[in-house]
Amino acid sequence: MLRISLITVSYAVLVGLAPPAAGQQRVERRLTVGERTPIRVHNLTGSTTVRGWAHDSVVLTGTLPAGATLYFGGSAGGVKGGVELADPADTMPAHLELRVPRGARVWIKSASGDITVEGVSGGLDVYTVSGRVSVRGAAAELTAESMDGAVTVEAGRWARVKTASGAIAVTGGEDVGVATVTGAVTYAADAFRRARLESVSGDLTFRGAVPRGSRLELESHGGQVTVEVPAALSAEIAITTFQGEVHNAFGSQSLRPLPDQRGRALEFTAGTGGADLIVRTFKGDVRLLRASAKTTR
Amino acid sequence: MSNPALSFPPHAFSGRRAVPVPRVTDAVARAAAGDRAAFETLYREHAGRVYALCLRLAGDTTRAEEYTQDVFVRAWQRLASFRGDAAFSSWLHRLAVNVVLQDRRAERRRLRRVEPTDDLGSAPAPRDRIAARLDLETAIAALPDAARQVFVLYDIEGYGHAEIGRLLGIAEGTSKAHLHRARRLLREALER
Amino acid sequence: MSDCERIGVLLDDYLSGTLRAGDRTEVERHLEACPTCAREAETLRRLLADARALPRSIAPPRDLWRGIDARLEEERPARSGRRFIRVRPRLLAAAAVVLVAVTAAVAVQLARPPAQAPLAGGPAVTAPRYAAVAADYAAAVRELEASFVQRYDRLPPETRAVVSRNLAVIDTAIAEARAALAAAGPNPDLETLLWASYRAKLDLLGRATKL
Ligand SMILES: [Zn+2]
Repeated sequence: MLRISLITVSYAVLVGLAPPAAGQQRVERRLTVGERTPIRVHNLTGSTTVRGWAHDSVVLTGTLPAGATLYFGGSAGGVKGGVELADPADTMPAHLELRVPRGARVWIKSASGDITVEGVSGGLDVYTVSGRVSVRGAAAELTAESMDGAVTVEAGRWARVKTASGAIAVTGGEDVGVATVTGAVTYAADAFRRARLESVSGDLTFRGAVPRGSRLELESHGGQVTVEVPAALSAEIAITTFQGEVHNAFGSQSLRPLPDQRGRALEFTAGTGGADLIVRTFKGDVRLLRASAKTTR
Repeated sequence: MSNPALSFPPHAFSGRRAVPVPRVTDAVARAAAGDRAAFETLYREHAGRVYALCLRLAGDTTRAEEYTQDVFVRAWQRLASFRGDAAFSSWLHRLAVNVVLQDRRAERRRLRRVEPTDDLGSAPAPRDRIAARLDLETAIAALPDAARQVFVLYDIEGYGHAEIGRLLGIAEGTSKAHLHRARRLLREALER
Repeated sequence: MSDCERIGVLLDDYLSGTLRAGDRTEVERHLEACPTCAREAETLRRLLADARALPRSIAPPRDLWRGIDARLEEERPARSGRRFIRVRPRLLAAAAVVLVAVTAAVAVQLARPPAQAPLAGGPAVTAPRYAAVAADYAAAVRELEASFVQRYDRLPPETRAVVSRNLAVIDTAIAEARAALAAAGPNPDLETLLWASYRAKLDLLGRATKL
């Protein structure tokens, strides 16, 4: 996960630094803003990279395809920047790199471009259709959506991630919600308060510890649900499935059929309870696994 | 429908602060006679108030939508019994409280689990200006069921403990204990 | 019990204004002398003021009237009056658009909600609510599908493919959950899964329409 985002980042950096190819134009703009200034960036094709820094200014650098124009302006009340393509059908990529105050609230919209964000702690809203999203350095509030691109994020306090088919990998966070139709989801955390993963057919995987007082919910129609937790798990566990199989490495309890063909359920308390682990599938299999000591943090 | 005459004073809804306004409006009378267009007018007028109440009592947006619909269906069935000795809005408010609490009690019996499940995205993201208010709403939604219901009824809607005890089927003292717990949990949640 | 603990217990009633006079004086004296409890009281007072200032009305995130309207048909008021049968041209037009074959099949199923017995011991409200929520979702889906069809040609071919593929997966899931519900009767877990699939569909269509 880490490797992927690093590659994305270094790629973006290289592109940003490379001399412009024929027909391309280099751009650079600066603005002094406030610590928490909202910043909106529109870059439909090509990559957008945003890094938080400890200055009250926004610096935008990048390369644009021939004929494209850059708009960029604003004040401490808000900054708006983006690329207007000469021809809407033009898919030559523009590459933008922004430095923004760490506490800024950043909003980025793209269509096919990748979005990379590092070290923005204020708030983050990123939307792309087919691009990839990579976020490092926990924004307090994060919304990330992609249709088809993979989304990899380090969650801060509150995070919501959505894709249609893009794979999702989330780490950390306190209040985390993830939804996909067919993408695969992995969530790794050990200090969350509330997390909910849902899919229609994508596989859902949780790895980490279920903290006391937390609530972890995984819900899928047809995806396989895997929960890999330390042997010291302490939680109230409620698994229901209509047609799926359940593999339970925590005890000998087995699925009991619910009355009236309402599916099957497995409910038990691991350890002394104190947290809720809830899994619901229609036909996806459910695996409750003990993490080997090595993979446990 | 040009003059729905539904302008109740804003405080007509809340229990302790309630000032019953006895009148049967035109729309209420027509709806009671089976006029669905008139009933839709009533829905448009009161949906926001009913939804807010259901949302806070249930702590869950999906449930709140279902309850809001249940409330209006129930209101439709019972309109004939609405006598107009209280404001329609107060009557509807009472009905909403009953619908939600009855169902929550039945559900608790059924599910054993009482913590609220809200679906993805139903807990609103705190945002800028309205952050404080939304934080409070989020914190209320995250309270345990009974504590949340007592807090909403007592501190937001202005009901008394005796009445809440009756509605929830608990002792007055228990209602007080829930309120104390709710306030403490909210303070902790908001101080973080 | 220490003084502060005792005050902590009385604080609720004090701030609610329901404390007896004697106790009230005691609390007030303590608050003047003890900054910790005074701060506590101030925080609480602010919390209660914020709670009272919360908006009394919140617009529902989607229009719930259609779901209500659908149920009024079956559940007449005690004093029976005229029947209003309203044709909704917008929905009819939308329903005519067969986006994905399965969707149409689901829509037909939704028009005839399966007969359901109330869950033993559970609230009888489940069955009508199920039908109403299903009808509401179906109507919302049909509307969004109509707008999506209008946008469809303007989407890049890759995006069209992604959206269609995902819609097909959702439609299959909806059909499976509905069939299971029809066979098994009311079932909160299945309903939860069905609503989740509907929400996934609404969300996907909504996003695709805004692209
Ligand atoms: Zn003290």
